[in-house]
Amino acid sequence: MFRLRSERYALVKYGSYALLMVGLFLLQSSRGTDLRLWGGAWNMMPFFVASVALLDGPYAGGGFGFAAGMLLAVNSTMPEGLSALLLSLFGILFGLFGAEYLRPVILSALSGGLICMTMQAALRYLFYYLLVYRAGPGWALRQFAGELILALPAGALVWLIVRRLHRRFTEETL
Amino acid sequence: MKLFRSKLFWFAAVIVAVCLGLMLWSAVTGRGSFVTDLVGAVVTPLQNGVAKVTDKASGLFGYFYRYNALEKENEELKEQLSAYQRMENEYHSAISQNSALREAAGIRAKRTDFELELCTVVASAGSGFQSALTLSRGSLSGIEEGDPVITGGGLVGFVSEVGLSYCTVTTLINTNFTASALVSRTREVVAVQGNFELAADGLLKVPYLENDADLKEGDMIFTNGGTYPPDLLIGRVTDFRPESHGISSYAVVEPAVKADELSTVFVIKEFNVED
Repeated sequence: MFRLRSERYALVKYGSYALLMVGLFLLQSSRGTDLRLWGGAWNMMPFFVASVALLDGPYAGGGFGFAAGMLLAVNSTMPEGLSALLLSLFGILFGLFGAEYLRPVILSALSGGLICMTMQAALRYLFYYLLVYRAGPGWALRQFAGELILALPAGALVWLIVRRLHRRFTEETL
Repeated sequence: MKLFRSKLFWFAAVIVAVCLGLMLWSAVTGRGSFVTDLVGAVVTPLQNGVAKVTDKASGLFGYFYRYNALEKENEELKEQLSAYQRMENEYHSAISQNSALREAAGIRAKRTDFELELCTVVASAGSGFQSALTLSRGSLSGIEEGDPVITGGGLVGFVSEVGLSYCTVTTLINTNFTASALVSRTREVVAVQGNFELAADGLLKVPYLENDADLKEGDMIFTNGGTYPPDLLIGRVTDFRPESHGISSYAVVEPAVKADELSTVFVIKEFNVED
């Protein structure tokens, strides 16, 4: 009976994560709430995936990374599946690394989100902007700075919400 | 060998295989898979709802805090309206004369019929040279890839991707946009395209012009038929510059419609031009 209850709470926890993920996506992508600075757009998904991976491990990180990437594909001009691949692999690797070497604190989550954003920006610049448009790095750095300024405060809030949800449903199962 | 017995390895392998499959599907077919269609069908109405709420909030905010600015804008628009009404009288006179001359010469009147679909802009799918919009209607409403998108002010872009209940519009300043166009004053046929450097300022490029081409600031650029119906306003020339190599020059065009300020647009599902 205890196992049934803990499974039910796990289901509710992951359902809450999913609702939060959709809510964050709506906030960052809908007309009127999408923020832009220096060409960079508001993106909270890396911080969400980092928070889930840090608290719930690589399987949850990978699964929600894939789901977040598929959501991002709806409003993106990038090839379908690319964001999902990046975010899911990041979720798995960060979940593994976090379980061994990191404490589940805000600094770890923000660092993880920052690493994910840097990875995305670097790949985007090298394989698209530089290859196709021969764009200089200064412009790409300015865009990345805009993305960071918008995403970091929101990322901290995302961590607090994910941690709250995790604690709520983890306490219930103890 | 231990790695291949690990559950996590196979979990990652399945995810990578699915993602690569989706990327391959997207590359081969040039459109999204049923997964993106399904996600878009669920998410787009929610984005539409959020956009409506922010429109209402923005209107209320404007009423309380931007009253003076709105009053000033109202006065400027009234002056513009008076100027356009004067121009309209001249146009009606020119149209009557044109009709009479066509009749005298035995030429049929030119007509362009549109079948339009009104759509709400629910999200921006990119900015600058990747500028794109997501609309609230898709293939279920008869929208197809390549359909032109307009507002009362002029051309916005074209539909580049269609889902069941949403579509993505590539706007004028996107580097994937290109069109045959006509300069209103000189009737010269030119090409208009999005440009990486100019897109950051929300501008377009008319390339491959002679160094002494007769194009100046204020000239209006219209579509010239083909993929787009003719006589749709694209924008206004703001500058004429030589290319870095010096062999040719280009004109800088400011679009008539600013895509990031739009809330509703029309998709032209069918158009019929009779010359």
